[in-house]
Amino acid sequence: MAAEYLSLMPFITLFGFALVSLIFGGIRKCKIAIGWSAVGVILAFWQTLFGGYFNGAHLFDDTIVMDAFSQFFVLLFLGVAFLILVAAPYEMKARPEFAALVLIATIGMSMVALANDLLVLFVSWELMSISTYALAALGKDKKSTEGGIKYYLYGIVASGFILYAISLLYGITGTTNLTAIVNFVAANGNLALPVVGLSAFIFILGFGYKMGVVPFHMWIPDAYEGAPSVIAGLLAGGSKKASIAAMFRIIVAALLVINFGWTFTIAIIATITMTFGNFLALSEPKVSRMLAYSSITQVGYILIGLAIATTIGVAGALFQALTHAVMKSAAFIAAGVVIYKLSLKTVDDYNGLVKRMKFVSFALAIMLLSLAGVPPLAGFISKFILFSAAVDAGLVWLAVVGVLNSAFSLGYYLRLIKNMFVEDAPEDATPVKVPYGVTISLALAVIVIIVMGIYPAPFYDYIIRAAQSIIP
Amino acid sequence: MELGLISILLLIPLIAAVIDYAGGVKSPKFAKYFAILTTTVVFIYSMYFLMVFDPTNGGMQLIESYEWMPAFGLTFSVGLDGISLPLLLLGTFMTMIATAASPWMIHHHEAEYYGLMLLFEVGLLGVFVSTNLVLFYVFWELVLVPMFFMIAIWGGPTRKYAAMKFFIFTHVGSVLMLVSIMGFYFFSSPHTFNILQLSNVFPADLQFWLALGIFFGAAFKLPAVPFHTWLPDAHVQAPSPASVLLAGVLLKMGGYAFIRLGIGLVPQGMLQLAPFLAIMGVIGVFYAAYAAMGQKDMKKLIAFSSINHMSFVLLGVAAGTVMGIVGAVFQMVSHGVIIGMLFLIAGIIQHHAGTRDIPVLKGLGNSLPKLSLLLIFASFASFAAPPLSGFIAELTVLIAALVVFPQIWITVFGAAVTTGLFLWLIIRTIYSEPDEHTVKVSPISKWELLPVAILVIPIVLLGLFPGLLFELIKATAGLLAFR
Repeated sequence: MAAEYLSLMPFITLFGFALVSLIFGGIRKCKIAIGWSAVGVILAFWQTLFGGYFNGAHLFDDTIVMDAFSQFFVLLFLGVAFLILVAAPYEMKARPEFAALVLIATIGMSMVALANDLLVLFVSWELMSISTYALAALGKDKKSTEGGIKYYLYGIVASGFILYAISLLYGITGTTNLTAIVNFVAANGNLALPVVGLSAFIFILGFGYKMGVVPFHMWIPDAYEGAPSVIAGLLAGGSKKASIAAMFRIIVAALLVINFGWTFTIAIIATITMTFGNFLALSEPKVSRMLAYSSITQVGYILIGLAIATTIGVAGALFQALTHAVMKSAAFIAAGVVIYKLSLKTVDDYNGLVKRMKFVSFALAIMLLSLAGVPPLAGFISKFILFSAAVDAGLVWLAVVGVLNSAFSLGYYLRLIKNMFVEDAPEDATPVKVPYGVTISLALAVIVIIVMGIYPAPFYDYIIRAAQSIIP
Repeated sequence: MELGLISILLLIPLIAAVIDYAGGVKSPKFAKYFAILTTTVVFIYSMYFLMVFDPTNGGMQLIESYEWMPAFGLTFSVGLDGISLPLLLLGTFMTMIATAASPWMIHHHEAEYYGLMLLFEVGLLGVFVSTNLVLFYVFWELVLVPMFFMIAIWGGPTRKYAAMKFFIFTHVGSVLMLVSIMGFYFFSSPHTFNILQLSNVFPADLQFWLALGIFFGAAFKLPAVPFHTWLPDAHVQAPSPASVLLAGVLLKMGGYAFIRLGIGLVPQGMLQLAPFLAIMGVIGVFYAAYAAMGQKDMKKLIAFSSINHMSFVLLGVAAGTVMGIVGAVFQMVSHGVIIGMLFLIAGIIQHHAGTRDIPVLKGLGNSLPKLSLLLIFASFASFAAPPLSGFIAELTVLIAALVVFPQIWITVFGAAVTTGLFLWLIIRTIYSEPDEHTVKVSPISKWELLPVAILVIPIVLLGLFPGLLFELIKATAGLLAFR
């Protein structure tokens, strides 16, 4: 038993650092608390990557599985948490609980990816959700509170859905263990079909809420705009990806064995989600809301991978989740520093931003181009794999819809880039000093996006392994 | 890892772009001269390929291949054959000319400008040498970003609109081509993106769909009417050196994609598309010629004439015979040089007269005699007066197309309209009496005319000795022709 606990070392580390970070926060050394937490994240990252804990073992009576899939997501969450923590000090210097909450939310997200039991999954899900509810309302103004409450209300509805789906599955299978459910469904496929199909559908609803699948997307722009930008980055980069992890774990790994004609259904949901998100983003004047809508579009792309559910499709979705996590967190960090230092909010406000914040503009432009899938950046590679998978699965129309959507999305990304670099700045524009943390965080993201785009081979090999570990 | 000749060709401008930007921030002069030096070196280096290239061998030569993402069939593979080498040389030559002509037309943010110019060259040359479909696509798209900024930052009054339109239009076409590229991979067995292994391996009906995707990518770039609407905006608003690159070489990527991916990989699909392409070509010739006639802005006139000439490329592709392909490539090279010359002249006129409005530019023959001479020469070259290169090119294409589609004889009249168009331009601007509306022009330095004057050499040379180029293309075209 003790050995099993030791296998969770990265999370124990995170938890320990979170507790100490609270002490630092308690004596009002907020910046030290954040820095300390960032060290904890690095340590946990190192342990996850090289500690050998993720060897495919099933722990604690098969409630937790340490496979390549969970390792991939843990690394993703830790990466996002690091970007956020490094960039945060300027905005969170008076928030003692911030760093600890980020670490605890990260533990929650990671456990969602690790769970092989529906109850563990639900408890981890709540751990993640509750910490992010608090985080979303951390801002000082009413907007943040409104966004936080909206996020909270939608979030508990989503939790309700998930719990209901779990109870349905438990009712028919008599177990909450995913492996047992797989075996049951495989043995009694036809008998169980209606209830299992229904519960799969409700799972999609529940996770879809968190991910912002149309028509459950309404809270996303409000929450992302209202929350402090670094938190919005964490929500878009982290907690959204936790829903994706859970969705893939449950649907692809467990419920795929019965075929209830869902490829087409999810393909349609994906189409609607990405198209709708694009249209909303295109007509949105505020940058943070535009980024929020664009993250809805990106979820639409990821759903393509779920619809196909082949190894390469899942790999494409995971790659897209990874690149999107980096791009979107970095974009929110950039938008956040612009709001904080210059209180510029709309797309038109960004005119001539390059004169004031050279590096931030450059980094944001790289992120936006990558989001639009312009080679040779990482966003291109991930979308390329994802859409290729659709072609491979015979869904050429879905690939066409995907590439056209990514081409149209260029419309609003390019508008922002044009405003930053081409439009004239206001007369009184002078260079503004950007906090070091933001610069470091953005520089990291830029390097990751460029390296992953130019030399994707090792990442792809790794992600294929992660995808193979959940495909039955 | 040992680098081959072609990789080095791509690396020189890439590394130079970084150095140029880094050094140019402090000293614009450095940016300028270093960029001119680099593009000249690249051009001379690319001429060396003529020595090592064997024109009697139609296949890919100087092949290099490095691993990139082996699990997904992505390799960094480059090579040259008779279709790509002429266009590669055109690319290095025109980039050199455009860079050399830039100092008179670009007066702010020089470091960024020349850095982007060199980055553009990387993408451009990469397109012509890639033998892996994904690599091809990466370079194909890489060209857009520098060009977007070149138009948007250093362009004319409505440059921002034009730049957005340019990027989005061509990007939409490109992504449809990307779907075809994915199709190539998954329908082939074993899965591959290697252009050398994908030639005509699919059944005819699948080839048609793949060809359709390529068609969209290439037709937006070429551009074929009715996908041309981005071109007049982009060409007119771009600073003149960028117009030279747009019309001189970027459009050629479209023609190259038609030949390399279309005819090369899915000939049976192209065979089914050919009548359709021929009709678009004929419409393009007439539509663009008449549209050009109605323009008051000299650059816009040249831009439309460019659509007119690129429609001949479409005709050559539609013919699909050895002669058609040779003609199409010849036309691309010849038009690349001629249109570059016209755009440079328009840029110089803009610089010295402050306007490009044809009605207020009168009596240039007296005020700018040397430039007028060059303009007359370029106009004659453009409407395909013998013995200049345009004549050989369009004649070859027309004969090739007439053999296959006798109905298109009507195109000859389109060529006649082009003649009238340019003669009228000469009469209005050069052989006219100045009146009270005519603008004053400032004198031009010799150095400014030098890049334009250099362009006379290939036009005359290829007109008098077309065999030089035919020999290069012939063997490869023989392998590709589907009819």
